[in-house]
Amino acid sequence: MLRRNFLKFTSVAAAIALMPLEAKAATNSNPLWIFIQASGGWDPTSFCDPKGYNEVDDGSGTMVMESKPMNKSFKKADILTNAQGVKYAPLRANDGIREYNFSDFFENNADDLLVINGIDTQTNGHASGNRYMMSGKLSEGYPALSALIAGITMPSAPLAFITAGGYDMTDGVVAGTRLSNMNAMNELAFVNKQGTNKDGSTINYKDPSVFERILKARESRTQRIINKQKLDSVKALAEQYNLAHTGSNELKKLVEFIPDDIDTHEYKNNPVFSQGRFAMAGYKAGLTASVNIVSGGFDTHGNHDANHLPKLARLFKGVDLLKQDAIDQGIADKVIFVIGSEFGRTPGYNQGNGKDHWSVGSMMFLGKAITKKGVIGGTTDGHTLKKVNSSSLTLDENGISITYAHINKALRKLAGIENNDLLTQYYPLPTSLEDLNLFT
Amino acid sequence: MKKIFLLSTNVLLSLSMFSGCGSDSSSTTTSPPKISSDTCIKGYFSDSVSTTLNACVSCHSKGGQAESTRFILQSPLTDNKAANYTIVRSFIKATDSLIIDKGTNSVQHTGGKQMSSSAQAKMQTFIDYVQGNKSCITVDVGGSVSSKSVSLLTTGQTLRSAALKLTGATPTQDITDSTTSLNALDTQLDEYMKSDYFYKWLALRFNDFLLTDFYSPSRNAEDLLSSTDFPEKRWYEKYWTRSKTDQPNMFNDTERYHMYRNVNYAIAREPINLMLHVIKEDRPFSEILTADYILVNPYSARTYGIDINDFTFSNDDLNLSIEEIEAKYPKDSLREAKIDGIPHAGIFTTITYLNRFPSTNTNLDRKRSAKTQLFFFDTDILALANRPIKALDVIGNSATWTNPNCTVCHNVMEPIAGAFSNWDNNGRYRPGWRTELAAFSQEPGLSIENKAPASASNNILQWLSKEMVKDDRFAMASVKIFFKAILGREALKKPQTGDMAYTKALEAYNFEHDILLDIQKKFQASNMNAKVIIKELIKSPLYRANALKTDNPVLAKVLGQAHLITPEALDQKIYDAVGYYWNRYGSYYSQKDNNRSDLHRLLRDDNYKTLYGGINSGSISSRVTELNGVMANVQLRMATQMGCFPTTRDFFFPMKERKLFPYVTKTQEPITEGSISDIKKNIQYLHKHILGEDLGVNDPEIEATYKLFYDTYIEGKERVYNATEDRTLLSECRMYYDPHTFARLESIDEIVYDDKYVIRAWSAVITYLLSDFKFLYETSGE
Repeated sequence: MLRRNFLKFTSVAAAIALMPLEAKAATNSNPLWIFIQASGGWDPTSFCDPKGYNEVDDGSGTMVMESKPMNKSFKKADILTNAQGVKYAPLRANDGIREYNFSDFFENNADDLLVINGIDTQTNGHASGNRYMMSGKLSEGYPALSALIAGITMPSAPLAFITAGGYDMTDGVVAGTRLSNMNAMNELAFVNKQGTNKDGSTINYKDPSVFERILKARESRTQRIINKQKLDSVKALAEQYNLAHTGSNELKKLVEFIPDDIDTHEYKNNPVFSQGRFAMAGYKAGLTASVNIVSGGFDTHGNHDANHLPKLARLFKGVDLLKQDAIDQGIADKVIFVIGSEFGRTPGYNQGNGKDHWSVGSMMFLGKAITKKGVIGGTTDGHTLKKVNSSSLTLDENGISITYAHINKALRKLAGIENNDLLTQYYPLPTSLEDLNLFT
Repeated sequence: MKKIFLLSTNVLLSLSMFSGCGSDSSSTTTSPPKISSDTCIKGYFSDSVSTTLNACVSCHSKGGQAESTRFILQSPLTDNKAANYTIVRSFIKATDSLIIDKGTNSVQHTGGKQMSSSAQAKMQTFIDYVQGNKSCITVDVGGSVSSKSVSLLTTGQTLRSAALKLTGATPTQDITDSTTSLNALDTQLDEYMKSDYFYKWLALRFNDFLLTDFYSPSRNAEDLLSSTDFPEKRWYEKYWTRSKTDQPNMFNDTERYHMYRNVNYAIAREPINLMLHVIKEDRPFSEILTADYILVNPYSARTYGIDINDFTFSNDDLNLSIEEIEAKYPKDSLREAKIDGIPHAGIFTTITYLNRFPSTNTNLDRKRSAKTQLFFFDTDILALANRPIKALDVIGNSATWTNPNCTVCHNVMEPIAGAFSNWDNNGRYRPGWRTELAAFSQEPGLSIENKAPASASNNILQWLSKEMVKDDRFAMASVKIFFKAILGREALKKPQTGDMAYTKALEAYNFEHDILLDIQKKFQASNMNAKVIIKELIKSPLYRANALKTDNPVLAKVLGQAHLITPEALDQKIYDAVGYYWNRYGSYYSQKDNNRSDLHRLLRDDNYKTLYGGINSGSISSRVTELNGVMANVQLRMATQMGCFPTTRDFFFPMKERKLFPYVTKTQEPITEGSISDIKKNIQYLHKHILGEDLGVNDPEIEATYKLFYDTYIEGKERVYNATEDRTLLSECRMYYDPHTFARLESIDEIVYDDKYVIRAWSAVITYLLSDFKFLYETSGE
């Protein structure tokens, strides 16, 4: 998909994105989409689809853990339930700095949290699982939903799609951006600035009129280069170059919104928090529509509990911090979190005390735009999926299995892009796929 | 002729669908169907039936539980499809539909039900074709794209592009002019492949997938080694004193740090250095896997306890200064060496390869196998598992060996994983260490049919590497390593029938794949000389295309060179253009330390390297190739800064020694015809020198650049005259120091003032050109 072909499919929001910055910041009412990929395959039975161990009599009257527990770290009897009926594991783990209580996440977010359990991930391969979760298509070729949302709603914004990796294939509908290093960002926001005078005035490399002249001359020449190309591959690249430079001046705005403590906050190394803060600043600046965040370390084939639970704590803590940031910045109502992983992990433990790949998973969603709360779907005690009724979404053994394709279809609808020509012409989901009303 | 498969009853409908899908009016929609052929049936088998045999092959193969039956398959990989076609066809001829009856367990089958309903349907279609119940119909879907449809760069243009890529420098006009044939291009490319830059460039490209620079320079590769196996590890610390006074025969803090860095550098780079060594020495590229040695430098040799006369660092030289030591023992000086008791198998047994792709007691080397096959065997195991599975399907004690949902990957993955079993999770050679876990692994081998012999039990990787390099898949993987390095993208994958624009995608794939196959054959015929691949790729239409005259949007989207220059290559290209690197500091230190690559802005992780799409081989391991707003600003920042001091600096040199301004002086105003002519001639030169454009002096592009120069000059001069802008250059742009000695210049030689705004007008031109698309990208476009 070439961006020049794609631009014609953009929505009204695209026109907004092309407006002068101040006007755009005032009128952009789209949400900020934060996609968090728990990389490696998380274990829902250790948090939002809890399966604890049972105690059995060892024959001498002493109650001990059953021989093949689903989880060794908590008892089934100790599983907790929040106000919206979400059951969760009663666990604590180190979040990288201090101990984190899982109940903080599930209780504090009770009125904001939707959990979908028993997702049929249809694969237990890492690459294909990530792709399926993020694009709704198991085979290759479709962009990540995060990229599609950014490309459609803010096609010309320089930071529309911020990505730290994971499945972030764009297919050219938008350019993904890495953000880090505040010093560099400051410099890049003001490329013609050499320094500051004692009186606070700016020292420029070139007189501003000269700099402006260079930019205009370069823009004209780029257009001539584009027009001359006979090879689509080169032409597309020149167009991409042109587009990236079109909005390059807007980084100045981003810098204004980046929190002062971005390099000093005690959780600055939390991957969810650190990556998400840049996206929030981009959103506040009217430049960003979505972000891909990766939180790794979940592929715990060995020593599962010791390795996996701290990764969950780190993820939850990162979401907590981001939510607080959103509240502080007055955009709490605008942020949508989509949190998932490529698949789940096998019921019980392997010989290395680890858990392997399992094609039943869960996802979590947070955001005011998502009006459904609580839990959809479910699994058995052995973590095999239960089917749901495609209308009522209640458990129904004659129903259907929820897949990532269903979730992507519903997310497209939530984002208001499901009928965009780009999706219907280039990246359609099967028409036979049930339309599940998962979020509203 | 490329085919799609249609059932005969659907031919007319399908043909009309083709016509209605907006295809062009070429033969794609008008060729008559061709009735039945072995080619058609084989094609159907290859595309639709072969992979379904995964369900059968774990038992129905040599050594499998069903090896005594009359149905013995080979692993359903590409190279075995032809053999399996013959086997299955013969079985059907003899038994009709028994294969389905067994697979569905409708007659007694020891393995139970193994065939899904879709696999059953495909097999039934195949049986119908074999038995003649149905005709296998093919439709011509456009055939191949002719090479005549592709316009190419001239050999001179190709040379310039290749020179920048392989040497980081533009060729002289004489060399370009004399390169008028492909043979001449070949000769010149051979010369380029002797340059130091070429090997630095290759090292970066190899690291893009090996990622072993993760350990270099600051992470400690040496610590990956076992102290038990290598008691001389950190040998230099025995000779280290923290005492401030210099003690004879001891290292101080600085010297110790140098020793640590030099050891670490060699160990971290063992896999990459081996690849470079094999290429440099014109050895068969297969040696990267079969080498029965490692490469050591004088310092890592000590760590390994290898004493090579007049090479390994000697304690006799402890009294030398660090400068003297490093002069006598260069860290880049490498020797082949063997470690006693270690069965070296090229890259596979290097400590950083084994640790960059580590194993665990549950992973059992499967990651190592997947990476090994991805890099060196043209097999992407993760791409084999794209079809849906059900969770319950994979339950069972040995599902990975018996269930087709698992065997599709595991049958390919596990034998090679098993071949790594003599090396523990930390990369230490410990034959037999994993005996208790053997029950969870398949037998080591190249595939489930080609198992390692018992005699190789202690050196299975040596056996494996020799087997791998005999296989065409190694040769094709080698071609693809250099394809990615040179074209900056992955080779096209074979499209699946359900993919969008399938027929065009198939044409594109076939066009490219045919070229790659041809190169593979030339590579094999050259005794696997990797330089042959590089030369053939550069001469191919894949590299040289600058126009496509046939309607294939899939091919048009990828054909030719079209990619953003990496930060590392841009760093060098800037130097080639302006004679000065973009480094971290302004003023004096910028000049004195300009050659220090650790200060170059595009090479530092904490500066612009990763922001501009580069990798750090750890948390960021894939390059960004699509320009975004931040990267666009990196380009502008670079062009702005490098239009500053380097512009002034160039004027310091005599005209004939200048990189940028050989035809003008720093005070030459556009006020006479002669002066204007000189300025335009210099602009013409700059378009050629920086952008590679051969333009007439009256070309509109020259005029556009001249206008930028002139308008900047005329308005700037007026501002200086009106004192609204200073007559002096910005401090960072001034020339105060001798570029050779870095001594302060006499005031008369300093370049500080620019009363006429000429230097600043040229600075604008340099910024304009350095931020140009043609400078920042490698393309074969116009």
